[in-house]
This record gives sequence, structure tokens and C-alpha cells, in this order.
Amino acid sequence: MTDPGFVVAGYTITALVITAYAASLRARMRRADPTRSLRNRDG
Amino acid sequence: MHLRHGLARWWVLLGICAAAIAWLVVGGLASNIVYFRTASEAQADRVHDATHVFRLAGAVVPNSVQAVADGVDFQLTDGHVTIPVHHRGDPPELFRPGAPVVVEGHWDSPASSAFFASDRILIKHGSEYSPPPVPGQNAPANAGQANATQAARR
Amino acid sequence: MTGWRSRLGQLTDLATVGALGTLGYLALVVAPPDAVQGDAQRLMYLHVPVAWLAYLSFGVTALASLLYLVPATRSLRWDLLAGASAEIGVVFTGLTILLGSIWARPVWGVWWTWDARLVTTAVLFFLFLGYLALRQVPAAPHVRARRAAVAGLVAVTDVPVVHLSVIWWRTLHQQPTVLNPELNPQIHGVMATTLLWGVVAFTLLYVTLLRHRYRLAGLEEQREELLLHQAVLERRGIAADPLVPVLSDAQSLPDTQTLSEAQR
Repeated sequence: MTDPGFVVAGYTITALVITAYAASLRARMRRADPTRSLRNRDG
Repeated sequence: MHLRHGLARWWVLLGICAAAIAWLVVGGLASNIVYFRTASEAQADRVHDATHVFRLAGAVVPNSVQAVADGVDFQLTDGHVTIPVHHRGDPPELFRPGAPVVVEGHWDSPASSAFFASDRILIKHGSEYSPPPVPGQNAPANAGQANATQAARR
Repeated sequence: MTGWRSRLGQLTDLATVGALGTLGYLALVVAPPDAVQGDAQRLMYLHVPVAWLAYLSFGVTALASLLYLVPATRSLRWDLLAGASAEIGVVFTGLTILLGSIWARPVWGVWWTWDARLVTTAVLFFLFLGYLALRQVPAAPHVRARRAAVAGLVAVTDVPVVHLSVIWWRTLHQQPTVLNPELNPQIHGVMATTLLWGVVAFTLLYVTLLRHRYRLAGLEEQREELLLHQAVLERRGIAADPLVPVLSDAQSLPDTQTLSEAQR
């Protein structure tokens, strides 16, 4: 019998990685929006 | 200037990746490409190996497991040659009689009667998966460990 | 951008979330624990599909790189697609290694070992991380694209090495359960169904992520062009409302040489 803690850790980490990557795509998409980025280039 | 700075950063990352690959292939892969040796091979290379560290693979002989003061003693076999192993420390959870294992260590002495002194046991499981015979219980694993414990008590 | 395409896109997003949720239920509740490994074996339902997603990403990168290199199909769109797919592949190769490590600890007894499968997978991670770094090194668009395409095709040769490592060499890692040389899956019914569902769900996840990542690549490219163009205009002393001249001045865009000068 193995410790179910490893299973919980594995499933949690996977969910976190997928969510974090999706969030990074969303954030970069907003930053790359041409109408926005040109108006305030430094931001 | 801003762009120059950015450029340097990517070259640095490229360099790190190249170094990591070189380290993995030269340091890791090259010396471990033969990950383990069978009991027969180890027996044949015995004189040459002396007390150098290597990995030995085989199945734990049923009823050979004995708990000792600083770890566990058992026999390892590949079906042809059987080697006595002394492992220092607790064996991993899935260690049980009949289990296919890889042990890391060395011959205790160059003598032909020497046992294999292991400081790490790795469980080499197969690629077959099935539920336990009785739903909700890990009958074989538990039974195996019970045997091991019993054997260890004797 | 609205219309049937974005509707279809939203639908794939939803289907992906649904498929992943269902996988969680199948893997953690419906599937039985393994006879030998117990609950730890449930990590297979993530580890294998995540690894599959990584293979798939790099396969698409290679295909797109090839399509870029062939003169008849040469287009910077293939280059953008290759880059987008490789980034997803790197994320999921990292996750494959992480999940493998978490599975190895209770089952093998170690977090890491110098096994050929593990090492070649780590090499794959660094090969494509290096590929992503190479893509960022500034150069004229087609120079950068050709450089990346060649690097992508070189890096992808490690994918079959990773897959066959467990057959070519002695490893602690087990051989493939489904795609083994005998093509004879050794896996019990419900477990097999769950694994198959996992592969479908993660393929869907790949399609969804690639769709968004590719759109992002297009936006970033556009933005880069506009910023460069604006810099050129400013150097010429044309202070401007940024949007108007760029959009109307498209024909007078300077060639790449002038652009890279402006960059400095």
C-alpha cells in the first residue's frame, strides 16, 4: 500500500501548472494587444 | 541598450541549456547506459569489479528476507545465479519476496564468498496493471509484506 | 473575430475543461487501485497523457519547421506555429518529469535515478528550452525563422530516442504499456479506458492551448512590427499619434536593414 499523499500532490501540481500556463497566456495576450501597447509603450 | 541587454540574456539561457545537455549526456547517460547487471553477469565479472560500485538486478528469493540490526538480508536471483545481499537501512515500501529489484552497492570484499553490500534498493516494476483480486484491498502487496515481516521475525 | 470560429473556440475550451474534470473523476474514483502499486499507480493517468502531449507538441513543431523550410510552403505562419507548439511542449515535458518523480518516489523508492529514459527526457527539455531561447535572439524575420526551423528539426530527433530508450537500453523505467513492441497492452479494462480518456483529454488540452498560444504569437509579432515602425517614424522626426500613421503608412515600411538600424 502506498501513501495517497503522492497522488494528491501529483494531481494538484498538474492542475496548478495548467492553470498557471493558461493565466500566463491570458496576461501576455492582454499585454500584446496592439491598440493597448502602442498607447502606453512603457507599461 | 535595452535590446543589447535582452540579447545577452538569451545567449546566457542558450549556454545554460547546452551545458545542461552536455552534463546529462556525458556525466549521466554515458556511465549509466548499462543501468544494471544481472546476477549472472555480476558473478562473472566478480574479479574485475572487486569492490567497485554498480547496480545489480534480480528477484527477491521468497523466504530469504531477514531483518537484521542495521537493515535487511536477502537473496537475489536471476533464475541461474543467486547472490546474498545485505542492505543497510529500511527497504522501500514495495519491497517484498518475489519483487523485481535493482540494488546499488558493491561486493563486500574481493573474496568469492562475499555478499553484495547494498545501500539502495530500487523496485523495478513491470508495465502490467490490474486491480487487486479482492476489490478495495491490495491483497498481493499486503500479503507480500506480511510474509516479509514474518520472515524477518523468524 | 466573432462568429462561428470564436463560438467553436469557446466550445473547445469548455470541452477541454469537461474532459479534464471527467478524467479526474475516472482516475481518482472509478478506476481501481493497482494490485502491486496501490493508489500511486493513479499517477499514470496523468504522467502518460502529459508525456503524450509533450511528444505531440514537438511533433507539430517539427512538421511546421519542415513546412517552413520547403520553399513551396514557406511562410512565417509556420514559424510562429512551430514556436507556439514548442513552448507548450517545454511546459509539459517539465510536468512529465515532475509527475514521473512524484510517481517514482513511492514506487521505485527514489525521486530520480540515472536511467536512460529519465536522462533522455531531461535532455529533451533542455533541447527545446534552448530552441525557445534561440528564437528570442534578434535577427531579420526569415533568418530567425530558418535558424529556428533547423534547430527544431535537430531537437525533435530526441523524441524517438526518448520513446525507444526503454527498449534499446536497460532501464529502471518500465516499457510502454500500450505502445509496446508487441502492441499487446497489459492493462485491465477500466484502467485502460481511463488511460485512453486521459490521452483524449490531454490531446484536446493541446488543441486548446495551441489555439490561444498561436493567436498570442500573431499579436506579439504585430506589436513588434508596430513598435519598430513607430521607432523609425520617431527617428525621422515624425511625432505622431501612433495608430494613424502606422496603419496608413504601410506601403512605405522600411526594409529590414533600416529596421535593424532603428533597433540599435
